[in-house]
Amino acid sequence: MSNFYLEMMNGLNPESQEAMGQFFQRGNYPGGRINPYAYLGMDRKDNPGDKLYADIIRAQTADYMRKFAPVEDALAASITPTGTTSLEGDLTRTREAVMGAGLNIQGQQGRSMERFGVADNSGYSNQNANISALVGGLNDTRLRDSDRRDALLTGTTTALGQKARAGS
Amino acid sequence: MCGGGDNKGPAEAESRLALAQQSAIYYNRFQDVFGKFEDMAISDATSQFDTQNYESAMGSASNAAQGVYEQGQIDMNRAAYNRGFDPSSGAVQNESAALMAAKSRGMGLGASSAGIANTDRGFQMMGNVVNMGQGLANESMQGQIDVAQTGVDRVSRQAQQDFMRSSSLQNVAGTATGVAAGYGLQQRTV
Repeated sequence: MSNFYLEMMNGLNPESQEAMGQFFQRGNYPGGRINPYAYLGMDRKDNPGDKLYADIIRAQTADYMRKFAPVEDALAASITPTGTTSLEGDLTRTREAVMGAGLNIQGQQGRSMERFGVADNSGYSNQNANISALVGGLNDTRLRDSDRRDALLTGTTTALGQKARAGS
Repeated sequence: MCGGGDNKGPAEAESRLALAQQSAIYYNRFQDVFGKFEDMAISDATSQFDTQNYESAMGSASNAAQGVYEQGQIDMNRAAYNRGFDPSSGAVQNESAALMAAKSRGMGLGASSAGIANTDRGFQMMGNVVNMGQGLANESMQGQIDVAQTGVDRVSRQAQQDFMRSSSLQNVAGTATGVAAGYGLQQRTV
């Protein structure tokens, strides 16, 4: 909002100021902005300051609902009785990472042994090591997901609930 | 009601409109300067769970683990050659197999951990966005409380006027201003 607008408004009589305010729309400008001078010239008994405050609150609430409420909903929806909805994806990635690394290393070991002209007999022991690593990895993934759930419950969402209660 | 005249109530203090205008200007400036950063933070938080972010984090971790174990393999092979060990011997094969198994575990679990850390980071970013939004919500709630209080103030002032105008109430209640002030105080402490 330019000073020109304010200067122009100040130069008008109260009736014209009010008419101009109506012309330029009371309250919100397009694009989530607020017209600070929308109630300039209004009779003070009509509480122009309160009306402008109300516009600000409406704009803030609309901004909050548009930007932040969907993220809060998504975060709350991600919490399950035992962890979060990300557990399945994390378990799949752990499985792929450990088994993929196992195959990769088995190939490396085979090629290394071939260079020495000897047979690679390490397959069985490597397979056991892989399964052991996989079990450990899956357990760790579950534990970390459970920790994540606790962090969400006692952190962000709790703070959110406390604030909502304090504000109501 | 006796007294007649203007029923709009007392005039609002001029400073109230000035303060509201100041708040509106601050709000507009916030939207202009920081609004786009809020949008960026929200976009980053939601895209943190995209596949390419997982692939990048897990790939880097796997490569880093591989690099760490490769140096150990080179050292072991060099030591075996220097000591004249037969590569087909059980000692060399067992050592090599153990190192390879450790490398596999390091790469697999390192990549897995990086993937989980990426998920954690996504949740953390979403939590930060929620906190940002809660700051905004708090401001909004505070504003609502201010407006409610202003409404109470106005009712109190109106009541004071009504009490002062009404001679019958004055007679019943004694000192009208005292009653009005008491009414106002009670309202303010709600």
